Amino acid sequence: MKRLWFVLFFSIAALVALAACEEDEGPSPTGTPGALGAVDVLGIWGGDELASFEALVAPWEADTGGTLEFLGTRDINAVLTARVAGGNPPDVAIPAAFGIFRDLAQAGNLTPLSACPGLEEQVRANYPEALVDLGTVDGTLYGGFMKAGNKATVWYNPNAFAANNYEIPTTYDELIALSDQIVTDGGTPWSIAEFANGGSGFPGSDFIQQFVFLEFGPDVYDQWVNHEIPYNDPRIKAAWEKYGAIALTPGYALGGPDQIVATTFSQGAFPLFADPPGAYMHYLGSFNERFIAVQFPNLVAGEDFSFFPFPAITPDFAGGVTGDANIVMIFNSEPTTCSFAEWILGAEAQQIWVERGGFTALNTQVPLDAYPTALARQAAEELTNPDTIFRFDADDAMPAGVGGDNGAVFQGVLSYVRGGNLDDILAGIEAAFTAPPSPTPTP
Amino acid sequence: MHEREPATADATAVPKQSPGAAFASALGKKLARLPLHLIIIGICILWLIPTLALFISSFREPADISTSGWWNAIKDFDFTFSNYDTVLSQRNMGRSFVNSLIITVPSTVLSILIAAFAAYAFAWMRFPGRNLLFLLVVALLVVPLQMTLIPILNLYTELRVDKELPLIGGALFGTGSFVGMWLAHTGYGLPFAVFLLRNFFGSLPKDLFESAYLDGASDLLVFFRIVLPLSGPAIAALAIFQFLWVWNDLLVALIYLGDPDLAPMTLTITSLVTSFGTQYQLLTAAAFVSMALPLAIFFALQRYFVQGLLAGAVKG
Amino acid sequence: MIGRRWWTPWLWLAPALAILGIFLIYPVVDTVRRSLYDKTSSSFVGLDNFQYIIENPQPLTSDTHGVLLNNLLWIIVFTGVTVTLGLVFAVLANRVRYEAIAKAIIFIPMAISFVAAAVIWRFMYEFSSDTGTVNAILTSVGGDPTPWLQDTGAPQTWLTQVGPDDLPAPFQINNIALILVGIWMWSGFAMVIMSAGLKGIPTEILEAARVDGANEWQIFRRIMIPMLSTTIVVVATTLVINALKLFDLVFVLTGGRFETDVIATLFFTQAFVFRDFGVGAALAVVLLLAVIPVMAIGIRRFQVQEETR
Repeated sequence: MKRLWFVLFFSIAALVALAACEEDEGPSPTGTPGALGAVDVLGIWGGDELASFEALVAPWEADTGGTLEFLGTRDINAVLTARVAGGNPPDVAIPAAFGIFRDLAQAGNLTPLSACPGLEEQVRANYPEALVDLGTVDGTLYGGFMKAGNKATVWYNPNAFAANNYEIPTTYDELIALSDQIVTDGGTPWSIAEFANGGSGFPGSDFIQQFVFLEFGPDVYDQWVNHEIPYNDPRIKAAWEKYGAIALTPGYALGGPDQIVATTFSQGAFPLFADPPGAYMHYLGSFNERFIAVQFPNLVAGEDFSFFPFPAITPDFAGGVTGDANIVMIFNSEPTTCSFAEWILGAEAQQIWVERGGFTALNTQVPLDAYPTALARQAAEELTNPDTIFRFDADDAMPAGVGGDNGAVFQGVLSYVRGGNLDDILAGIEAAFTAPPSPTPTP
Repeated sequence: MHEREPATADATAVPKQSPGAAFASALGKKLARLPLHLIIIGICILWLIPTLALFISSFREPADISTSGWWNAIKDFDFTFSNYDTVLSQRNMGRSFVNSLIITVPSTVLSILIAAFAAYAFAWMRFPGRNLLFLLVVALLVVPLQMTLIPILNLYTELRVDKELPLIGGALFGTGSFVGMWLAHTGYGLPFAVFLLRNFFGSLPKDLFESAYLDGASDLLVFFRIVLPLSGPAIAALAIFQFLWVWNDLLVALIYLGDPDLAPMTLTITSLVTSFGTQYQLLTAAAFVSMALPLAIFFALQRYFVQGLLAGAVKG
Repeated sequence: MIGRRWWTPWLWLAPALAILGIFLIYPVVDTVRRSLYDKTSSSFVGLDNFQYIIENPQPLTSDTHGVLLNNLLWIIVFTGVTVTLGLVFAVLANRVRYEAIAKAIIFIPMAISFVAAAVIWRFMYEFSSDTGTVNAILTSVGGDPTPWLQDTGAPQTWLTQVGPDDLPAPFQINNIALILVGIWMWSGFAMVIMSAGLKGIPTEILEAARVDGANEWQIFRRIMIPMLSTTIVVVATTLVINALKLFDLVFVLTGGRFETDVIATLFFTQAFVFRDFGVGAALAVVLLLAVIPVMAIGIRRFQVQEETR
């Protein structure tokens, strides 16, 4: 009897191996062998993102004979930290968050882009100045940008809006009025989803930073990020309270605090498209498009699901956009590495992924009509338009321990939603800023 | 496991039972064991539900998984092989399977061997500091893997020998080498292995050893002829777990291997999921694809879980 | 034994000690060193990192007191239930003919990688009663759905509405939910090892007891448990230590959020997310120190056992 089970499972295992091996016809490298070697890239992408990235790299492999050795992991911070500390960094790293880039640059682990011939000039020429400044640490340019996200997008169901004669709000007051209207009509205006494992609370943080940005403008925003004003400044508190007005007002958010913290962020928009709609608006960055499109393949982007720009608060700062991007950084200046970095930061390569969907390019040379859907085009246009006031994700720029995964800001959002006292929370975040997370040697 | 047959001494002494009575008696025996069966089956069902949920989910369309529970799939009978198809046709999955084998089997064998030698010494040899040293080894159980990553990576980076190994690939030693993986996994598995085996070896009857030593048997002879054969269940249990832990390991491969061509299945499976964690329904299928071999090993080793290995070994 | 030279034991121990020395002891030494240095391990700060752990100045992001309490809860509840379940099931399964299948079913969770286990239990603990199994069962009998992994309320109020809504950490619903996952996974481990130990009991002893008229419960209490005592200690010790260094389960299910953080996840956060090797290493050293009581109990047991050998 046991032998039977053993044989059964062993045959399954063998079949698996066979089936998997058959599909394993990997592409044989074309081009002159030995022209360029292998480039060791550490990134975060998997699934169809990985497929798109490989498609982006394929022409480079064909032209130069180099090969991509890509390792994608969601724990890239840990792996990168370990490998750098262990003396075995990759050639190129493309993490999602900014903090590790800044720390590595300041510690001297990165190679400046100028070490690769032509790379720095290429980046300066093709990327908006604000971004070039962002990639500059202590006066040297260390990073380029890929795969940006627009975080000033509020998602909604156009059909549901039309059916109820709801108008897209353009100001914050209209947004609240619309929410009240929906409640009066018997519906729930908002779906909010904060769960994301170690990064739980990030949608709320994005929400709040938009409020700060649109009410008080880029200068205050910068002061806030650089900690030139305390975190519990009354203006910041006002922004948090605006988030609270949406998340905590009874009847506003679907399912109340329990559902807010328990729902995975990538599924937050799903209630909008149920029949009848469970909620009418969901705030998340432009990457939400992929989640909705995969879950509801029958819906048409732009018609059945769409976003409207984040409503203005202070008229002067209307249309302000916060966003984030993946940063490309290099650890050496070998020919393979440099050639690879030049390719992936170039417009031609990025356009390949743009056309496949799920990628917003910051390279100004990528034409807007390359975007596959009107929605993607709109998100990209808002992000790269030189007239748009743009700022990078706030908590990304704050030091580790304050912003970023497991940081005080995300924790604060979760506490706030579950009924914590806002003053205490803000004081706690401020403390995280001022008292360093760990002891420093007394000089 | 088997009901003992009542010894029939004298056919005339024990009256033959009528068929009806015999049936009732057998039924009574079965019913008396009913609670036993109920408990076992009850626990089994409880344990099986999550696995069953995963199994059924692996045959569902991605969109269905996020909208309705897995029990709906049974109602609607809406199944698909697409998840398995995607997983199996993932580039490198076949190679990863082989890599997993290359990493796991030597690690398991090596750790059992080395631990067995050490356990025998701890159990049946006397030397100064024996107990303290043994407890130190056991205490090392608590060292979390993450603590060792950076120091060992440093070591491997410095000691890397770049000669390509034939047949299995990878470097000769250091980062990106299978040898490095074998040693690392052995190291991580040794505390538990030594702990387990030493206790089993130590519980073997003293007389066995004394008579063997008196007969002039060397340690090696005693080890291979007496200790190992009698420790079937313990070694089988250890083999199962060591195999499992190495087969399912992700972090060690991620940090020490680094080369996608050498990646085991766990690594390739993580690349099925996007950076946002979506497309996780592929993980449901991947879980079962990856589980097949360890379960086969489990069943293969079941034959060592035989009762009464020591029956008759102890005289009087 | 005749003829055994003084260096023979060391020869047998040499490979194990060498590998352990490199892969476990050297990192421990390195970690202890880092615990006395600052976040980049470049300047000496003495015991400041440990003071940080004691003072807990950043409860919002690294609640050092909270993690210690959480681990304590795991040690007591997780180990207690898992050992008991493993033992009971090994003994029960031993007596039926479909033993192999029953054991396999309890064992399967161990064969599943943590990543897959995370997927399974996300399904089970999902808040929406459309997709979450537990909440679906709950709502079908008239209850309200609970955010199992995120709720830090007191466990008993969920059941009985008795007592305060909020017990002191670590008594939280989500901790219990995580511990249940741990029990589900590790009972197979306990069972397999107990089963191996059970098979090692000579059948003659068991048969003799049965013939003498002992019922199964008496056999269990008077014969099996004493003869399995070392096995039980092995399993219990291993599980206690697992509870101490618990990482994967918490990491993949909650990321340590919602006050489910344990020592190992906090160490990971400090070392690899905040890139602070000083405090991270200090936490790891605390972990190592926490095993000393376990060792002390072990020493006592060994001394007892050695005397009877």
